[in-house]
Amino acid sequence: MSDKFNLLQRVGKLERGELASGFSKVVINVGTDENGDAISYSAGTDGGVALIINNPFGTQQMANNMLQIIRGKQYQAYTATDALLDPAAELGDGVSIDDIYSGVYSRTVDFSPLMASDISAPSDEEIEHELTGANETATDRSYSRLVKNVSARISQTASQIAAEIEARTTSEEELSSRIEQNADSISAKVSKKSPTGQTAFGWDLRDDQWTIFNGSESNYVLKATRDGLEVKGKITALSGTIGGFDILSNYLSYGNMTWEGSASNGLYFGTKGFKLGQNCKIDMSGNATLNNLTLTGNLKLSNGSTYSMNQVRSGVGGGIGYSGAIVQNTSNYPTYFTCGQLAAKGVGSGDSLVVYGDGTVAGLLRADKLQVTNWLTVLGRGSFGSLRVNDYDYTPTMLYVTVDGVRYPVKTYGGSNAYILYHT
Amino acid sequence: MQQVDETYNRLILEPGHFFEYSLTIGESGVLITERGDYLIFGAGADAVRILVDTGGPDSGFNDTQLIKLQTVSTVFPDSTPTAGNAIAAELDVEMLAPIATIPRRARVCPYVRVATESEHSGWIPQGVFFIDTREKDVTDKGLETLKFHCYDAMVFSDVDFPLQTSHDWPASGVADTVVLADIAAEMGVNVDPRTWDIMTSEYKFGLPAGYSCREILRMIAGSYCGNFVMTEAGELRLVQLFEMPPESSLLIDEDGNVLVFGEGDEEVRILV
Repeated sequence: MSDKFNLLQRVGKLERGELASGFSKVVINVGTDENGDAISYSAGTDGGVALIINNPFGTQQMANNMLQIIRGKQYQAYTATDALLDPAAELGDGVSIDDIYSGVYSRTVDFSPLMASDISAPSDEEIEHELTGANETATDRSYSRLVKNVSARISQTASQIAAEIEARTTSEEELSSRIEQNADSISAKVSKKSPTGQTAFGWDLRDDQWTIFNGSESNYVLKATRDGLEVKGKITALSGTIGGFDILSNYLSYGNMTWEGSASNGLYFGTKGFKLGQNCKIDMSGNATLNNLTLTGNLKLSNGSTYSMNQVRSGVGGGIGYSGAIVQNTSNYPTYFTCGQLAAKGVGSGDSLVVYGDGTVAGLLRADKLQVTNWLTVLGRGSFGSLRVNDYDYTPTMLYVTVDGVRYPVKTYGGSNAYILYHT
Repeated sequence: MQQVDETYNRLILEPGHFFEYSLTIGESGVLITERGDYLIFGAGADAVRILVDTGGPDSGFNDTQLIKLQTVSTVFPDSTPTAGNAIAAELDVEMLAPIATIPRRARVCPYVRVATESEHSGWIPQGVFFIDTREKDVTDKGLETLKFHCYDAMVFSDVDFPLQTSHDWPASGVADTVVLADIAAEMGVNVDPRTWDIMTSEYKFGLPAGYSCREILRMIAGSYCGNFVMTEAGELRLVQLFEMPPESSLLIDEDGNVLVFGEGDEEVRILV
């Protein structure tokens, strides 16, 4: 409680102001919502003067309590110059001057042996308002930066600091974020709840790992540990290296190899195909260029034919080397057989060269046994141990070659187990 | 009203009383003469000056050195009576330039006491201020003068509210009394005890991140229909609108003193 002083008329000059109507209402401006509409709490009626304050932490109970303090109180404005007021008086003390009683709300003291001061309860012409809100100024509206529907909480204990913010952006959509710090972990998460569902994304840091998760901590999309990085999902990289390979915009390269490059030890793997050194190249059309080809399994053709790799078929101009015999798929005979060289070396008594249908060997034909069901043309030299025709084995001495109606014996050439069939 | 001694109350009623004032600057200083010259003891390498504590108003600057001394204090920022303010009081000083160097943001305290020809009361403070701006000048008579403008400690509330507090801050909020204590600590001032008598509602505050201490003082003040000021002793005080005592009409003399009839338990005042 303050004190009061009676100055009587011990002032140089007194200007009396209006005795305002009593306070009848309190308004607390809390802030504005996302639409820019003001949010406030009020108590009382509009019959007198309204006291308006700004407080983002205001409540209805606060407004009610404030009204109890000032309801009916009347503000007496005045200005007294050269008032001989006791220097021990303080702001808020009561003062009686002539026939008015008010408070000391403003004071200017000029230090002198008299210690006279100018005191006042200041006012302006707008002190009395019949409409609520007339006292609101631009300064009063400075709290509009607070959105009512945003609440922030920070709880701090000896073991945890957690900050959580929730915001309702629309009537159906809620956003929330949380940062949590404990002795053994730090985590952050942003969640969104809408009529279509709930989504969340965040990260979690511990003493031995860091994860970025989708939804919950157990559903991580990226995980880093002392052993490396694990990613579940898409990775897009247009530069860098991985496993010693250079990452370019549309290919991987080793040894600076390009599709047109001439590096002998380089590798290209990209949109134009696959290239390994200078002796292996496969383009996007499936055309393969190889220096040597060794197949240890089966060779399957697009027509469905399958050849085991002791059975090899060669294209024209190439050569076939194999151990064993050629056996064509009995259910799908090719219409012709053409190769540059054809050699079948028997590894066992049962190995033979069997040609179903027509075949042409432009070069050397060599087989331990040769079986031809139709025509076999050897344009070069051919040698075989025996020739099976219609399930009967003929040795060269049992065979004759007819040329222009002339019958010629079959000669053989070669060492043991090998005969060259020719005619003179 | 400030606390004053019995001598003050007696002398202020004495006819012909007057006031003496003094101004202390800084926390400590060097012993000087009345004219402001250093007192030097010894000579040459052995010369010494005596470093003394400010010594209070008894050793402060008085009307022999002070040309002008004026304080301005107000509850409202303008001519509109409102609640929810925290206004800093101001002090203007013009004085003969002292020899001693006045440190930056020095603490400046005016004092006043009532006196008669034969005796005087104790000093009462008239505010605790800190230098903001200073200016040197020369009078027509060639005397060097110093002017400085000061504010009280309310300006120290223009800092961010300290988020690192010594207490927990639960989601339900913290009482306004705790918040005020945090702010006073941040400002380096005490809270006037009369403030706690007013703040009985203990309104809850969420962690006021992003707000300055001054903004929060305004919020607290407004919630109690009041305004914060610094007292003459330099303490933070909440002054409510209409907290002055109710007006009463008692029979008084020409000096405004209440006429008392009788003594002791039979003492009566006349209500008119």
